Amino acid sequence: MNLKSYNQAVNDYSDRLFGFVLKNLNKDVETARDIVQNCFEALWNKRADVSTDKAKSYLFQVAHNQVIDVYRKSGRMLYVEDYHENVISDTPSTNDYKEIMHKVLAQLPTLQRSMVLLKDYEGYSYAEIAKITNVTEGQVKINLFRARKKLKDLLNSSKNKKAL
Amino acid sequence: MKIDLQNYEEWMVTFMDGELSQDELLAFHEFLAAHPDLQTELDSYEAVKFDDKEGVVFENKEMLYKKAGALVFLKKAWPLAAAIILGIAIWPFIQNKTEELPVVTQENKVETKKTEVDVKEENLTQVEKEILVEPKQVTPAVVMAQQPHTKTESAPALVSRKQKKNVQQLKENIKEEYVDVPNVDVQEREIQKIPESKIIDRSLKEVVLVKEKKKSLPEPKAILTPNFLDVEEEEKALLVISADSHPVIYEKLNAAVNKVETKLETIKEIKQTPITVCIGKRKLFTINN
Repeated sequence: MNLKSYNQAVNDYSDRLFGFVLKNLNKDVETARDIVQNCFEALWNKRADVSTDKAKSYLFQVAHNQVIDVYRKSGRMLYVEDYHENVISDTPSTNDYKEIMHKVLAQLPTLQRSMVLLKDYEGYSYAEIAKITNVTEGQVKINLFRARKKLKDLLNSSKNKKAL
Repeated sequence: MKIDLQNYEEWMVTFMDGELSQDELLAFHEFLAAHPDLQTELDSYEAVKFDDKEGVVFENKEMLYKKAGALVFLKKAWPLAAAIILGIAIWPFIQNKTEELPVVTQENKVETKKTEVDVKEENLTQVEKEILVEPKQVTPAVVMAQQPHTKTESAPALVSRKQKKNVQQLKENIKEEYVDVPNVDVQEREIQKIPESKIIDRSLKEVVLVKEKKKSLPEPKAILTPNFLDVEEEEKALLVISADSHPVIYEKLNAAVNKVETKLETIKEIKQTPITVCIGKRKLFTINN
């Protein structure tokens, strides 16, 4: 990867990477900005080893690892058992479906949330997600299934609560 | 894995993610056709898919861009910076080089001194043997003795009157013994006619010693060469040290003079040597002394 392709990668991927990190960090803009900067710095330092067509995957891989580090250091990790109460208590206050979805998404474990975002927003295949998150393809399939099922149950629960 | 009522949700998610193969896709549609009540559940899964492409913008792209100009400057600047740092680092050594030299020279001189002493001892033994066994090989000694009033180019040596007398006596004896042959060099004739008993003289031994030592040195040194002083020079001299009267002091003085001479020559050579600073094969600068 040369200077030109690196700057092109900044143009092509910085917005999407920022969105991915921002959703993962529940809209912590400052931290998300720092992580994006770190990702591109890492890409520049490894430009001799990373080809242009692998630049995007490399950026998301670094971003995913840094998000996990942020949660690990700050203790912000939420467990699956916690999400029901939080979502149900928050949901009645808003009618915006998109807002509900993001709140539900924020209740997922970091790994599952990253997988959902990589699949839905970036359109990566299971194999590519496995490479980015450093797990097997089978684990991607299982984690995505669990994440979607939780999202569906949460959304149905919030709808039922609202109906009452 | 075959689709059934136990695992159909997993199939639905995989279908939604577009990860089913062609055969799996056919099997899934057949199963869904056989169970139409599951279509509602499939719609629920479709509802939790994030398919909106909301436009999040990273506003600080300028801080991410890399500029070629800065890179080129850095590439050109680093050898210069390295050279400056290297120059600063070695400058004290260059400054102190002249002061440090005597230490090195002193160490080298110790070895040289040893060598001279050894050579002297070896020469003494060798010369004595040569004089006793083969009188013809003592030519240098005779040549030196044949030039009593010739001044050397450097400082005159201090030799005793007794030494002078010994050589003169030797000269007379030689003249008495050889037969005058026309067209033959006087020195050659003297060499051939020198009797062994006359050559074994302490002053001559000293002459031979000095001459032999001169051979081992790169340049001949006239200091303390046992040439003979004029009467006026001898009267002006504060102290006359001869090999006869003060043999130990004479040898030590001789060694000390040679030592100082060698040291001065070494320092002179080093001062005249230019110092070149290089990084790899690249020559940076040269300091001419």
